[in-house]
Amino acid sequence: MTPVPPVHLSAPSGGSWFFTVLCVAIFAGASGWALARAARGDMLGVVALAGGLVASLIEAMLDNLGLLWFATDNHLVVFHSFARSMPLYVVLGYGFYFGAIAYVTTFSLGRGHGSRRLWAIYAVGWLFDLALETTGSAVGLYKYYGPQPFNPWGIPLWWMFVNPALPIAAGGLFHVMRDRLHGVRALLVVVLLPMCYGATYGAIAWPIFIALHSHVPGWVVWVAGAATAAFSLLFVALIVDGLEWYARRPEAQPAAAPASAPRPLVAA
Amino acid sequence: MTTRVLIPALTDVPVLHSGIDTAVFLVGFGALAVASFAVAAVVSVRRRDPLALAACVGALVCALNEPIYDYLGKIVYAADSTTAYTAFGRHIPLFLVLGYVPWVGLLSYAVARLMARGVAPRRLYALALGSFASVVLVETLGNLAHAWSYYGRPPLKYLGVAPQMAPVPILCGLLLYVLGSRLRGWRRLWLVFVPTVALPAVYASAGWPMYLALHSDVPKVVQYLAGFLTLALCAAIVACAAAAARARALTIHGGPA
Repeated sequence: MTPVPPVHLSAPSGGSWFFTVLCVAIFAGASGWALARAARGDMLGVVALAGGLVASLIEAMLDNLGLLWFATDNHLVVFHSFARSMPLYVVLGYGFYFGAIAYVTTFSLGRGHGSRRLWAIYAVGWLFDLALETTGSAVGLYKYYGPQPFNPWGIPLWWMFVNPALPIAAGGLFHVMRDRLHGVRALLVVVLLPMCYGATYGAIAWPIFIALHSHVPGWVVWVAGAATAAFSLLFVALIVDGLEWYARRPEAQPAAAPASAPRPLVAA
Repeated sequence: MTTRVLIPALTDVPVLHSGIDTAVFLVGFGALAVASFAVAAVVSVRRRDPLALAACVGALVCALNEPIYDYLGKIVYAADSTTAYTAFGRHIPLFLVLGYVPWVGLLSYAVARLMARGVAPRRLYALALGSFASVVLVETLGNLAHAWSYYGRPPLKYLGVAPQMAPVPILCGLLLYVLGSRLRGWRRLWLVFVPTVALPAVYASAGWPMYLALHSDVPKVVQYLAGFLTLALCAAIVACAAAAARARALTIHGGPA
């Protein structure tokens, strides 16, 4: 039996405006940086932000699976899907969280940063997501419902493990495809980012989705939540490992590099 | 400002009764699953490699994903089938779980073997098309017999499963091949997780426009666009996975064997 969402949840008007303005401000900052990079010839940031905005279309589907309900009286609802109302701050949040962090990942890889930087981006994404979601929840704009595990203050922590895995996956993919993402082809990012998002959630969040929608003992839901968190970490580890392999391939090695020189994750 | 309180449509799932005894499907899919496991066991013993068995066991685990995509794709199974488990308010029939073994397990293993030999992308396209056609055949039989049904609106109700089953064995095969090339001996048993990752990754990454349109109040033209986009994404996954396998094989062998 699917748990019934708190359909009568009401968002405080001031809180809804506050959170919307907060997200607009963060998105504006991310857009400013992306546009500055675009002025220097790197369009990837702009299209990554656009891809993040498009990926927000998937949010309602995941909210249904992961049991999250946005109050229907939030300001500036952009679209309805899966019987849910998606406010503007969700759409912008996707832009700066998934789009911008994916671009930061690609940007870092392009500058030769290695696995330590990727894990740092994942960790920062984890904390950033927690801070942002805690703020919105504390204001009363949305509510996680059902038998959520790892839920100390209304934010189920298994989500925090899954969300930052997407920008690592997408950023890594854009880095590997970078030579093919010039000119009009850069627009492929707008399609690829939602695909990566769907693939990431599909691949690693299915244990908790199934458990939340089944008649199972509480401990099974907790095990499913732990499995989802473990899958997330394994997923990121595999991507980091794959990118290291990609950087070590013979054609990526500088011809005259001295044998003792430190080996960057990505050849310049 | 007026607000709308929308209640999730949990009650639009029809109750279905099969027109035939679904034991027919159980026997048919059961025989295919047993045969697949037998082939996998023989291959595993002969090659001293557990990968074929791991792929088939992984396919059974992967069947846990079924109710997620039945819910998203609006598919319901007859209530009078032998049930393997229940989730998302759906009774998942045992025959369907067994059907994962040949389509998701053994076929993906065969694809991985072909990729290791440097198979031409054209043959992988043909395999994907074959997987698609075989699922269309099974889906047609099941729908005609009312063993299961798609209750979404056309045209998207016809895209629920078959198109996504074209890329699944190709992507799953690619992951088995690439990850498997880095593991030796019994450590290759870890690849049991690959089918449980590959299938939902394909379904969610290619199917999301269709799922979104199926669960939204959108005009017909948007439904058609969502359907075309899902088909295009399925084709793109096949093409990219085939190209990646080819590139990987060329990197390792310097050319097809």
